[in-house]
Amino acid sequence: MARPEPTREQKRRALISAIALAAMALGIYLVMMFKVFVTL
Amino acid sequence: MHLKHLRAPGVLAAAASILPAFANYHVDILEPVTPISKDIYNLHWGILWVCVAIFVVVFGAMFWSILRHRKSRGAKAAQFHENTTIEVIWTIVPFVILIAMALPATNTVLAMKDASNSDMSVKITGYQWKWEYDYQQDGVKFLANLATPRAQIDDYHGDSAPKNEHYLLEVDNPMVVPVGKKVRLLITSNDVIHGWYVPQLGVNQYGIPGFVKEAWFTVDKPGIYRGQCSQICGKEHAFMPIVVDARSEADYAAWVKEMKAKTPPALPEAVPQQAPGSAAAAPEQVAAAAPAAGAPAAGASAKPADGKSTFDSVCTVCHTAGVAGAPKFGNKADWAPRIAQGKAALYNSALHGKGAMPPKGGNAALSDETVKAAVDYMAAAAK
Amino acid sequence: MSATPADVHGHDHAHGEAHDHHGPPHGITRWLYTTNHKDIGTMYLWFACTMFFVGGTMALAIRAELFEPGLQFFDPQFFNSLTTVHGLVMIFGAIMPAFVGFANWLVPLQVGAADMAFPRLNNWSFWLLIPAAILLLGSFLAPGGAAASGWTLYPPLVIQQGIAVDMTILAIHLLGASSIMGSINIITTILNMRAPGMTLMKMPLFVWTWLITAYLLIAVMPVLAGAVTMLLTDRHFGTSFFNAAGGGDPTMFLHIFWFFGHPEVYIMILPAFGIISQILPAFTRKPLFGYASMVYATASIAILSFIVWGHHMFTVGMPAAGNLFFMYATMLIAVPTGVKIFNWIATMWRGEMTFETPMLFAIGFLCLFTIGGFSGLVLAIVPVDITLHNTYYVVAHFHYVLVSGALFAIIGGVYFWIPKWSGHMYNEALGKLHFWLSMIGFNVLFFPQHFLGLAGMPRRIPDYALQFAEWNMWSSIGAFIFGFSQLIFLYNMVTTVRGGKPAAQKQWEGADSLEWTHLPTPMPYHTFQTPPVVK
Repeated sequence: MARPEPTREQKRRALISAIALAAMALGIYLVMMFKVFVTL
Repeated sequence: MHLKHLRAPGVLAAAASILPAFANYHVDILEPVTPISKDIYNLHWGILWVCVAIFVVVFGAMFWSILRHRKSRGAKAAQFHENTTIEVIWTIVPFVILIAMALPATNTVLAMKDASNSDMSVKITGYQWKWEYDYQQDGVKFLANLATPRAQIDDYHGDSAPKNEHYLLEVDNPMVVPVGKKVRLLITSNDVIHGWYVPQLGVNQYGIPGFVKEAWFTVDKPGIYRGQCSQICGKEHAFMPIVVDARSEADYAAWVKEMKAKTPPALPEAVPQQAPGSAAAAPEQVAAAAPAAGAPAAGASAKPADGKSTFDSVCTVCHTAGVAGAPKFGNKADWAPRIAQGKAALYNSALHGKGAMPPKGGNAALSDETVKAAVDYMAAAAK
Repeated sequence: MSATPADVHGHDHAHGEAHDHHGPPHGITRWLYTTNHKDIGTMYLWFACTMFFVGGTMALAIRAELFEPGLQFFDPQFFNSLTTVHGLVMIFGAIMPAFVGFANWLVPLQVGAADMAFPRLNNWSFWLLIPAAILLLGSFLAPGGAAASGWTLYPPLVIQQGIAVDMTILAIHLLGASSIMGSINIITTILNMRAPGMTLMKMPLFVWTWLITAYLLIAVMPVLAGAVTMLLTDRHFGTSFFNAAGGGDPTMFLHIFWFFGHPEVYIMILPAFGIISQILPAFTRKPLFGYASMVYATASIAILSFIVWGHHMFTVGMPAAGNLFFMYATMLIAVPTGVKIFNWIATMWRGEMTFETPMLFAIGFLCLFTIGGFSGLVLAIVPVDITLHNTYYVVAHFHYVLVSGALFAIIGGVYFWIPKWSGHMYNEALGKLHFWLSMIGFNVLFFPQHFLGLAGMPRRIPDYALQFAEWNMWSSIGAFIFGFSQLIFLYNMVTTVRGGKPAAQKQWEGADSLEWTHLPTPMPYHTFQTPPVVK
């Protein structure tokens, strides 16, 4: 079926955005977890 | 959901009976009796009037617009969608109003944080679920428990006893203070976070286990001021009220003398002697640890190792009905797997808490032996 | 800004419907495997609706117990579980998923994209909610009952409890992962998938508010995850982050929790601002006043939300300087919030208003949210907060901003867009009845709680002193009116989705975003496969 396909350029930029945002979220979590690892 | 218990006719009848019974439609902060709570009272009213004025102006404009600019009246939509001047004005004007609000509030904040030059200090410790007062200078120390009998609270079958005037806001040993003296409070907790909150004194301070926090008040007017624990602290959070009895200096001195006479001198433990309440009266009390040091005679005869009286005064709160998963008293099915784990495990759960059960059933002042005796008593009953 | 979406040209209807003969697959797999933003949006909204009724049932149970003094129905421990889970369910199960549902439906349509940037990630984001909800609600069956510490989960109280707390922590982790994945999707879609000519400052305000909200979510959900992980290690792995006996500090949890918690409050209100900013121009037939300042105000609120967490903690005993800083910062938020209110009223000014149900809910939002804003200002003043902290005044305040704020916006938004989504028009008379009963029920329910708080009634108590009896009784009566009138909404929406009078392409005369101007009603399953050209 005709699932809409984004363009190549859109896919590339979307992937970069997503990786940056995911890194931001993970980074914040890991900064806090670093404290946990140090304590354990 | 347990909503099936909702008895609609009963509820309606209750509504009808409550209406004429008391007419307590308070709409204001209770009468302030300390300099700080008077400041709070005035600040609140000042801000409230500013808010009301803004509300009337802004929503006056809105409702005028709603009435006039409707399609049904033939209004035609204007097409403006910005106006820098007015946008700047309604950014700056609120800012100025806020500064005017913040200035007097700042003075009060600085005043309420200044507990220096106090006349006396009282260390207040929150327990699940009662308060301990320790007068640093006068050497008086006691526990304050809820004084409302359980029979007035439990209404599961619609048959609770008539309620006292100060239902849930009454204690066995009120905190007595002299009027006109700056009383410094050192507030902490023994188990979880509690909140020492007496609205009329303008004090609301968390007691945090492991930390001592400061607050203070100076009562202007003799009287009895009531409050409650303000921070959820477990099952009986609603049942650990605070009563402050402000008396003249002479009456206060007399009270100190009386309390000292009652307190047995030089107890071995740091906490006041726990007197398990007499078996007849105690089950009526919520978390009725004991009338504590202030109450004479009650526990003098019953010494710690009496498991039954401890059960009747403390454990019964949960273990008789099987509250929050607690094994029911005398129920073999509940107890068998627990007993099978051995006495040591049972003692450990009782002393240090397990699941919804707080350490020592929430009564941290009990000695380990007393708790163990109560465990033995319960285990024996379920064999 | 002159370039609002009203200026969108090129009403070439052929763009959107080239492939409308491709309908969705049938059966349960349509919903399990779907990557279609409309289907996922629908599932989010039904999930939120279900949780709203579950949480609402808990609220009614609470109000039944509080109808009169004495313990009539529940054991106090169970009562505490009810207040705790009611809060968690309404925040994480009802309000937030409802807004994500709106985002799924509307963000691609309003920026002219064919779908979300990551359709499969979108599917995962939704389906993670189901195990989370099962864990959260299933914890009632755990020994000792569900978490009973208040939704704020303060240690050491929360450490005392049983496995239900671990289930709740796991549920929060799942919900957090779902929110973060959803946010990444939304940001990426907005930044990369806009139609040619749809510049950022031409986007409808709903899209703007969600862009900012998604950034807030990505910044603070990991903080909450960290806080609850620390709770978990304190409970089971011998750490002492929040235990003074081991060198920790319970206050630290409060700081971390509210560093998450305050932005969370704006996560629940900014999309509501967006919805209201769409509804008002549609029914005043007039462009939104101060589009640019609305965007800047939203961004300011979001930034300020990171430096005001301490106002939840004025009673923990911070130094005077700390209390003063948080008081000033909190009061500052009144400025951008005020700008928004003024802009909305200026939008209505000299408009050509009609008062269909979405407009009624928007006006209800304006009035009641502002009352909640004022009580927020009162609570920002440290000395006044000291006497009102953890009383029913606070309960009244946050229900004014979350029920008559966020929830009214959600309900208004559903009435607004349901014609577009379902292709059918809802029953206007029932909608108006629903609005008026909600409005009356809500105010009878929550306005007296201000008085209870002023008189010193603490929150989270199953039983209370006699002087609080009268207002509690009124509050409970209001609760039952409000609660049961939501069934009208449910009935109205179910019948609308299943059939009814066909709706027009542009059902509302003043609506101006792409879904109204460019797409037919009912919409095809796939839209904007060829992006529209926005000028």
